[in-house]
Amino acid sequence: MKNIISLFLGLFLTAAISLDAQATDYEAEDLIEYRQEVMEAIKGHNQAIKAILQAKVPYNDHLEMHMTSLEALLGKVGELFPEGSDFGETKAKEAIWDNPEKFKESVEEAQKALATFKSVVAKGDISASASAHKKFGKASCGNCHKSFKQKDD
Amino acid sequence: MLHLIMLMLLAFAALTASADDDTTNRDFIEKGRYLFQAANCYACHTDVDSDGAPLAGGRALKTEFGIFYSPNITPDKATGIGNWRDDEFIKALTQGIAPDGRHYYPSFPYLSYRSMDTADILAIKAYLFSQPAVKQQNQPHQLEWYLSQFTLRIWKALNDLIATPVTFDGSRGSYLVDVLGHCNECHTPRNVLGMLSMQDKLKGNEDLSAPDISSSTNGIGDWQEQELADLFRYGELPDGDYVADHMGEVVDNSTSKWLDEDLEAAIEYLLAK
Repeated sequence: MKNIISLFLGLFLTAAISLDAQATDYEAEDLIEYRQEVMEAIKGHNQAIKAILQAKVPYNDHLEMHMTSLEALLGKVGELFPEGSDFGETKAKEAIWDNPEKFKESVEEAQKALATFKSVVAKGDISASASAHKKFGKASCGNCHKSFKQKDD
Repeated sequence: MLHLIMLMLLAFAALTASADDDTTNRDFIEKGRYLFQAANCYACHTDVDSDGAPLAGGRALKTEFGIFYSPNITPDKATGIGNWRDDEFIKALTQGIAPDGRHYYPSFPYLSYRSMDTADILAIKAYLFSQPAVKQQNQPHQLEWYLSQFTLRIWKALNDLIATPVTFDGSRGSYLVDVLGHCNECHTPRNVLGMLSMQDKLKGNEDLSAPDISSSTNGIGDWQEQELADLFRYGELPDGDYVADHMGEVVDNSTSKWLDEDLEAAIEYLLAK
């Protein structure tokens, strides 16, 4: 029995140390640069969707791919702000770390907004989709930037 | 019998008049709500970071002069503006003077609001008085040692003497941008005394990270009307990014709620060369 308890304690400590290592074993600058790349990727997919919906490019069949990519990327946003990555060349506001629950809710709202946008696109009406895309942008990127991103210098 | 008919007629007239009054009052409050949004009162007077009660103040505005805490503007009689008369409310908005004679610091944009139409000011007051009263004491500002009511009075007198007043050309666009929206307060640079340099109107204020939004090519002169419309409606910038921080609140609480004709008027005014 004593051995089992020791084993569980050992496993628990290893897991705890491993989780902590995720944030501390990497350079903050690299973590910040990585998340900025992910944000740029989100912006890129969003801009691509906009171009398609405005009929500026003939790639309507790419819409699904861009939305799926956005879905995957938004699903990872919550992981991109570990403790210790809140200084240096970042526009992330302290509120992300001061109020993680509110930040989590904001990311979830963005995911819900994407689901709403996807449901409109699925109906095949380009005009309605373009309108829904605007609302998606405000409710996702816009909403999060309002509370958690500093203004440009 | 005649008396009875007369009585009934009078009662009917009174009821009709009362219904008309209610409708008029509702319309006036509704007008006030729209103007309150256009003047973006909510953002500063609500401590959104701490999920504070709407309009109960307490929001910290960090500046180079210290931290200003916005006051409670709910109709609570003890801690808010519930006892304010119409003339006191007008004086506060247009002259920056509280009913007790204290002067407001220019963190409150009375220099922009001074051109606000009196009927509009009273509509905003009616709207505020229709909102729930919240008992919450105002927090004192935490300012640099040299800032006091005495130095503030000197600053205000000097500002009236040497600074060019915030422009208002009488157009709806100017009313939305210069007066209600008080865009100059952040987007127009200030001199060393903190006074607005209106000769550089809307050319940006680096201290506040507020960009040049003048109609020059350094500002938004190259923007398409639709790009400005997307900014005001959705916070979307031409490069696909979205406005952040205070400007995000301006979009959320104010410009995204503009009527279509007001959106057009503001864009026309901002893009005019």
